[in-house]
Amino acid sequence: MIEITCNDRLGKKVRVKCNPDDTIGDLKKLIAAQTGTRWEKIVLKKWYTIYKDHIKLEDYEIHDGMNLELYYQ
Amino acid sequence: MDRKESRDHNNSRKRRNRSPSRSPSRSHSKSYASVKSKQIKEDISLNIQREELLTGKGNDERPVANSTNDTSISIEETNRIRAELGLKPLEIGGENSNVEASTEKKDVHVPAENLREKKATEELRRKLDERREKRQIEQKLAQVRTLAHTTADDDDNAVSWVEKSRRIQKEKEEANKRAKMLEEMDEAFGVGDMLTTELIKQKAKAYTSRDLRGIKVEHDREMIAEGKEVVLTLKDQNILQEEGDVLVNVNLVDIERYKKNNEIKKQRPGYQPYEEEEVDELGLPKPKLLLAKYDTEIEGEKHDSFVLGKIGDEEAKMKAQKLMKDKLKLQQKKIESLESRPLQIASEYYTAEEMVSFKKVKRRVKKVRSKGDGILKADDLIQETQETTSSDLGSRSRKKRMDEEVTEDLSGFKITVDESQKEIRQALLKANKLKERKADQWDMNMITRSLKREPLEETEGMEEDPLKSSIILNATAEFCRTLGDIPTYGMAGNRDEDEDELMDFERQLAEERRRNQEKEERKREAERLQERGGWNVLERENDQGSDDSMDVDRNEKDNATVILDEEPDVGSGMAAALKLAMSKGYLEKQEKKRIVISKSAQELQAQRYTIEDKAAEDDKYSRRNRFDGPVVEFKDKEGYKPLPKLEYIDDNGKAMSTKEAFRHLSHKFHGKGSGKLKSEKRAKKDEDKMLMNRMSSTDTPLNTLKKLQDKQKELQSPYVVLSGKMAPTSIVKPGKGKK
Repeated sequence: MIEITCNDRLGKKVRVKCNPDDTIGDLKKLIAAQTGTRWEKIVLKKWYTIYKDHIKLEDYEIHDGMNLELYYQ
Repeated sequence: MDRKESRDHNNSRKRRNRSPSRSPSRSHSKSYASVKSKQIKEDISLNIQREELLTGKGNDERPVANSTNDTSISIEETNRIRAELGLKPLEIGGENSNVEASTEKKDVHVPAENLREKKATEELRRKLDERREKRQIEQKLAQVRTLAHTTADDDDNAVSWVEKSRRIQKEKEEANKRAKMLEEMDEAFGVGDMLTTELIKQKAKAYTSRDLRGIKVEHDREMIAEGKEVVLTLKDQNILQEEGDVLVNVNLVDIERYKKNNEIKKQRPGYQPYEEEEVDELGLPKPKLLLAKYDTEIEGEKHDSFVLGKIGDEEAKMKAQKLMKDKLKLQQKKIESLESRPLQIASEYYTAEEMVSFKKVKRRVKKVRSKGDGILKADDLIQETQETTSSDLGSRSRKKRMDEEVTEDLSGFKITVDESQKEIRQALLKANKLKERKADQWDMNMITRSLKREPLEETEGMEEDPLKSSIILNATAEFCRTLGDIPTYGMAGNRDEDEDELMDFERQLAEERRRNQEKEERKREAERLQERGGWNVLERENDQGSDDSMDVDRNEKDNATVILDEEPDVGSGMAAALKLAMSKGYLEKQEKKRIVISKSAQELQAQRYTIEDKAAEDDKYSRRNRFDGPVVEFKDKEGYKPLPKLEYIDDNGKAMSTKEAFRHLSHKFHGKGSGKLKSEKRAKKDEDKMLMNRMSSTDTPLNTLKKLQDKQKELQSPYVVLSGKMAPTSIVKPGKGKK
């Protein structure tokens, strides 16, 4: 289990517990459940790379305690 | 609800955790801010809830971001959510350690290989292999019989071996015998001959040289030496090819290939602009083909070939003929030697042989114009002038033989053009000599005689024969030049160029005559005077410094020196007046006569002058004869000596010198004259000159001399007494001039 922090800099900052073999899409759903937004509207970014839904967190080398930028589209 | 509580509890705990690190005042403000943000967040969450209600997805149990900045939910909760989403539960705790284990598993420590052990095992294995091999070989060898064993067997078979060898020998002998028998039998039946003939026949039937006729051999004919055996084989060819068989020798093919390769090696780059012409073995130039290097590629390789049999023979003949032709061509070709011709001095003129090549223009025989010929042409006139001028040079001598010649003389004494130059020159020389010898013998008689004759001629010749007049002028001019300048010449109207020159000359002569008479008179008078015992001093002045040769002898007699020339008597005649004018400078002595002559010559020349002549002349003077002079004398203009003279006349009608003329021109050109001072100076100079000319040449401006002479005459004494305070009387000798 890893815990990831996602922050849109508008006041929402959530810590999500997940498995490293979850996909980004799963993570988005978890975040959506936690924040109350629809998961389709969520965009996860780290700097300029937009994380794609079908790729696993471990493949993106997202580790425990990492910060992801949370945007809405 | 309990969940909410737990969240609140969490938040409170966090806040509690954070607060100790901050100062109390800060926490105050922070708490205030957090309260505010909390309100806002609640508003947002409310909004979301409302939205969810609208979309119909409303889920009361869904966790909503609470007021805290950083929200996180517990593992159980997430697991529940995950279950809802259809995801596997989180791997918590043990699983975490498990993950670590798996990562450890990945990095399995592989101990380093022990080289020594490895070597040992290898050696061991090799030894085992060796041993195994040995065993196998031993097994094999065990099966093979040893030599000892075999010898042991052969010992038993020695007899049989002998028998064997004997049997073989017998069989051989028998075979021989049988062959002999068969031969004998053949001979007995005559089969042998038959067989041989048959064989020959068969051979003949099978293949003869006749069958080879028409077959192509793909080699040069020269390659196959005569009397040498060459084995030809059929060349490999395409099956579908319709052409006949081609014979080829393998060795020759090899040789050809070798040659070709050599050629290729020798090949130079394709473009050779300055290539020398190639020459084949006979020395004939090979025709150069355009882009010959591509010929093989386009047309395929060319092979020398010939055809066996009759046709081949013909071809060979053709070839031989061609060769012969080439050789003939070679023979026809001139052989050029590299030796240069012997050196020669280059001459500017053609040799006799070379001249032959030129066609000689036949010279027209000049027609001798009879004296009374009707119409006169300009060309004729010119001819005449030449002839006469050339002959006139000897006029002095002719004048000696006057009686028969003089009449004829000027009318045209003919010298044919064909007469050689040498003769003419000789004649001239002779004439000159005579002239020199007879100069002193020359006297008035001759002149008078000639004068008597000439008018007759003129009357008949002048009007219809202007040529003749010009001729006469030439001759007489020559004569007159020897006499010296005739002062009356200018006066006689000669300056007018239109006037007839002959008339002038006549006038001259007449005047001369008159003058002579005058002189004689004067002489007589002088004698009279001398008889009277008077002065004869003034006798000589009539000469006036003129170099009239006629007077020379007489003048020599007058030894008496004269103080001053007598002022010439104007009243005595025109000549005297002219003389006075000359002496006073009213008239200037000018060489008008020459100009006139040259002008007349110019006229003649102009008549004769053509553009061709000009070109020829130009050529002549420009190229080779600039320094040498003309090769052949140009007879047409023999007497012509150009006297180019430019005359400039100023506003007053006076002739200007070159310097003055230049100044005049320059001033005109630049549009400004010389300054006032300078022009004044020049004017003064001119005036002085004029005065000088006007001044009596024989007396002082105050006529003192005249007075003196008068006085002397009056006193009839050779001296004059000058009265004065200092010296009452003095004697002046007549020989010395007085100032």
